[in-house]
Amino acid sequence: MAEKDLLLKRFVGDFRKISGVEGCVITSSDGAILASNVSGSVNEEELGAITVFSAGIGVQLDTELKLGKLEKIVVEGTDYKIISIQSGPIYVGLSTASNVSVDMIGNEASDLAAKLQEVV
Amino acid sequence: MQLPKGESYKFTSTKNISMSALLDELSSLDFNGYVRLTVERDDNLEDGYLMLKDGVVIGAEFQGEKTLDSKKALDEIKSAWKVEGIVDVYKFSDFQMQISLEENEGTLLSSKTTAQTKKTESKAEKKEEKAPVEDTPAAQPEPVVANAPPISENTPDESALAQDIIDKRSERLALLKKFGMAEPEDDFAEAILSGFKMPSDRELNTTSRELKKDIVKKVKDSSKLDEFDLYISPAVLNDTVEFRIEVYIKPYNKKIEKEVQSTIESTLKEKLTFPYEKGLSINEA
Repeated sequence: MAEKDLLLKRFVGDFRKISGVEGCVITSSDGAILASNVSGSVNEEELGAITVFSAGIGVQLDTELKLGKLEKIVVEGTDYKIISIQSGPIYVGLSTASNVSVDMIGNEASDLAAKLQEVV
Repeated sequence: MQLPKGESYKFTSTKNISMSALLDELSSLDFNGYVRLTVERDDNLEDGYLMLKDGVVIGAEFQGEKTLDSKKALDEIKSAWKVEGIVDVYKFSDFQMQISLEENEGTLLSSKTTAQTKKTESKAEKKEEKAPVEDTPAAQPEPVVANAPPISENTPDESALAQDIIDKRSERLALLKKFGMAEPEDDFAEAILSGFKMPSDRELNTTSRELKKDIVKKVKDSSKLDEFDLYISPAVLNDTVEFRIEVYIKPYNKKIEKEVQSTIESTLKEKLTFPYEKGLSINEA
């Protein structure tokens, strides 16, 4: 378990080092926050709730419309992005500036999910 | 350390493998890449990085309460390895290795020679004892680079390499300053690099044919030649494409050779959008 906690903490810490990322949370499927690293302007509980909620909508769309496997949900405003990624047993949510690369974050989330399977 | 991500090679924990066992394993593979150790002490996450080239630890950094470099960092990593933590090993391509060396000269140990000697000794001992790969944390043998020598024991080649890395970085910084530009941040550079898509074999053959067509046309327009034959053989390497170009011209003289070379180089630069290297030979037909 200690390894899992370390991995999650390191992951959110790594993301906060990326220029433009204001907050990162990792939640379980019921919305419980497993790890977070956010700036003062971001509420981690809210970000966690938005993450699970938006991913839930994505899953529902997938199921209803038979679109295939869901990768990520991106809510994009003029100067912000909320990125929600379901990766294995966890949900990753990020609050970022508009110029942050979603693909780069998606790759990192996949990497984390693969490692989590090894330690869980 | 400023490091490219690299390709994940191994993910484990400090309780599964000792530092010396891991370094021995990597040295036997002539590994290029880095090891990242993450531990938690006093409610703080601490990260240790070991950079390896050809299986030898050449650089170290430790980010904890303070950031430590080279030998001090290595000692701290050895100490941190005794705590339960996670260990990530990432593999570099040649290109990534070169970038890492240029970016992290401040963390270099400059202790290759003795480290290599220790590596050989360690291998010899292993053969005799047939020691298990996994050791208990309490009985950790000294890591490969534990007794790194002072910098003055470098071979001339290593000193030249280290100086070359420093020079290149200084030159680049001076150039950026001259044009009033800031050094790009790592994530920006990584995003750009990840945007490079290496061509498939089919695309490469098409590109070679188009290159040949363009070069032939440009050379015939600019130089009066009785004969001009051009052969282009592309080969995909790790992070680049190598074009071997053979040219046969008649008449042959230095002036024409220079013109042809310049035309070929400018065409390659203009047409190719991926990283490439060229091997060019111009001969008399």
